[in-house]
Amino acid sequence: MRIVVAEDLFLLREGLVRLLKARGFEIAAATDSAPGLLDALLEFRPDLAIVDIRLPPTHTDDGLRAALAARERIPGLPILLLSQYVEQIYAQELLADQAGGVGYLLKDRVFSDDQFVDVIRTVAAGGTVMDPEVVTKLLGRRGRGAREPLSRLTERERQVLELMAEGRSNSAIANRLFISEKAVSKHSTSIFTKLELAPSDDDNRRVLAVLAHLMSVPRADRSRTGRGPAVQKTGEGP
Amino acid sequence: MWPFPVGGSLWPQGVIGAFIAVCAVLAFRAEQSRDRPARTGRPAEWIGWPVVAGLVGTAAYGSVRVLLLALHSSAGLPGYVVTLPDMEPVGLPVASLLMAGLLATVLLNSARAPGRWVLPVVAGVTGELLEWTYWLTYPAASSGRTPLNVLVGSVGVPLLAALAATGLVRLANGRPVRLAGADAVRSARWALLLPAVVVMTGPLLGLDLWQSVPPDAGTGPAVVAYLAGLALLAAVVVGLTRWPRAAADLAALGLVGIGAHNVVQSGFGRYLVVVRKVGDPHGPAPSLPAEVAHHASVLGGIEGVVLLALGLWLLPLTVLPDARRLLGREPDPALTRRVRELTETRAEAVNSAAAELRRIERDLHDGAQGRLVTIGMNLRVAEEMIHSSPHEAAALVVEARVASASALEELRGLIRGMHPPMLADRGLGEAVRALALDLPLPCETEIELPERLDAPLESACYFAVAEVVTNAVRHASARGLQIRMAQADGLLRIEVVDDGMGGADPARGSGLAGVERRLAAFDGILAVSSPPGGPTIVVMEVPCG
Repeated sequence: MRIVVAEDLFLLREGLVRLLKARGFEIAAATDSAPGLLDALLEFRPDLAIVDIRLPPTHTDDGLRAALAARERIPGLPILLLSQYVEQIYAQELLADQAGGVGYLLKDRVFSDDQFVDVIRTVAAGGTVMDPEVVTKLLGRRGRGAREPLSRLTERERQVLELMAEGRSNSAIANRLFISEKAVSKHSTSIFTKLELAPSDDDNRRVLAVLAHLMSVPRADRSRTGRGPAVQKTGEGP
Repeated sequence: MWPFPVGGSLWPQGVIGAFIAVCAVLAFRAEQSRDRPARTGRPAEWIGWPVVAGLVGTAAYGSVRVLLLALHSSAGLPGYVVTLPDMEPVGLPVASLLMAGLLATVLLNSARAPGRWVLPVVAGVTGELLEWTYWLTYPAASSGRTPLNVLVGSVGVPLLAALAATGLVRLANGRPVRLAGADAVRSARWALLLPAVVVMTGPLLGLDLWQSVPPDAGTGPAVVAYLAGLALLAAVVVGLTRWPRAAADLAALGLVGIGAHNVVQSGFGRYLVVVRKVGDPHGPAPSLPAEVAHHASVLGGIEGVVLLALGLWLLPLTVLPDARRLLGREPDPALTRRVRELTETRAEAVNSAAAELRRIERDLHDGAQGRLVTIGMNLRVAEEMIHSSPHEAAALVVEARVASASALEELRGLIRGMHPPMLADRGLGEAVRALALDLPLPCETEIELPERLDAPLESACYFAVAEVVTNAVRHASARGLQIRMAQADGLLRIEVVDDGMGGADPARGSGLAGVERRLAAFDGILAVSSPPGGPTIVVMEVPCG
């Protein structure tokens, strides 16, 4: 598998390259700036790009912009974003085309290299992986109202949903929760029914549907309060 | 019935008298219970002794008229009418000056909210309106005045007065009125300007709307004269609003001058009462009966004393400092105030920067630094044990890795607290959107920021919003939030609305005072409306660009 790495910190870039090479990946190019990344992606058309969000020249979100620009020209080009922090807005932008083949991880996750390698394989294969912190934030912002579909999930279903949103397969979820794969698929059917999502056997479709549901602006539950200012909610659940 | 036998109806004057008396009592009571919690960011000192004094003065001014009108009716000069100088065309500027002084006294200490304006201005307008209703409902006294005369007269005097009084309020407040609602006052002022112009131009250039129009006057010259007068008076009014200090000085001097004049007149046993023949306002007038003159003189003296006292009380606030400044004895008060403001906000800024540094130092010391030391020690021990007991060494290395992850997490939190990455990446608008997304409750955002602001300003505004939002989530048990941000006319306006339980008060240290201080360093202001039961609305305005 051929990978392009874009990371401006020399030590981290070298570390990543060493780690990836040790795991048998081929490094097509390692660059330290956003323009360099775009050039490398268009030239080498790798199986995966590992990109730091913050890159020169402006040291803001240049990495993300370059990756998205490349993905526009090469649809479906798998991108794995690494960052020191996770932002829902960036996750939304990454997932906007609903095409899969994207990942968004905190840099710390590189430490556990088995998992990191799993993520690389998933994303390169067109899957979607979100950092647990993104998922926590998404679940955290969901309302407390009784009409909120998430509140109808059982504790176990919520755990399954969380792992599903991170992009894990049924078997990975089963291993993690020490339950059978069959139980996982039973839970996932129940989750999809409760959230009123169309069921899907395709792992990636399933992840995208769950993430899209979580990112939609939750409906404010105002049935019990009459004194709040009149609010027109934009956007609702799918 | 009224104690005096009157020919016409005196109820309008009675009503306005009662109205002003009620206002004075309310003002007095409010002054007594001054420690009530404020609803705006600044301690509300809007109501104070100046308000009481101004209302008492207005009452004195109004009641003298009531008494004189009653007296004149009882005197009964057949075929003639006793009138008052401020109802004569030449008396208009004097009357405006007088009203300006009174209104200014009322408004001097008031804060910025328009509600506090309404009372005295309405009092003034109503007073004039009622006074003129009296003249209309008592045809013998009207000397041929038309409803237009009345309309113009009843709006003109208080309006000119309000203009001058604006000057005094600005003078007292320092900062221009900017917050919500202030625009309404401004536009009302301009809408009322036209009648004032009409009434003022008449006497100046011969077309006398105040009096009935002479039957032989040509239309053409009258219109030209009117337009020219319009332009002239517009210039005068613009001058007054442009140089509010001068307007304020004029009002104070006017009070002193008119008060002194009335007192002196009273000393000579005279009062400025004018007698006109009914239907012939320009004809010769007979002298007053001795009894009427005596009453007029005594009442005029009392009125004069009250006005003089108010004027003298205003002098040290207006004319004297200006005179000293003109003579070079004293620095410009506006400059002095600005210097004081800057000194205060600079001290705040330096202090809060130092405090922030101490907090970061402590966090680093207690958190990441400690963990790095642990990691180093673990690795050192692992290094020694790697050959003798590799399993234990491996466990230590795992421990070191976990510690490094926690150190990273702490650093991440610390960085977010210092300068959120989103703020650096995409600016204020996106950072606030990201903040809203991370909240545990639904939050709507409406953000219109066409361009990036200066980094320090972005940061201050971001943390201000973050603090207000945190308050809403933590203390108000809000169920939903709205954040609106827009930039217009060099002003960034941020509005945070929550549907929580209300009761937020900057004066009681809910973090809002800190926000206010932080914004003050950028000449920004904060206003809070948070009645018990909600909703809470926090508005921040900061000059930008």
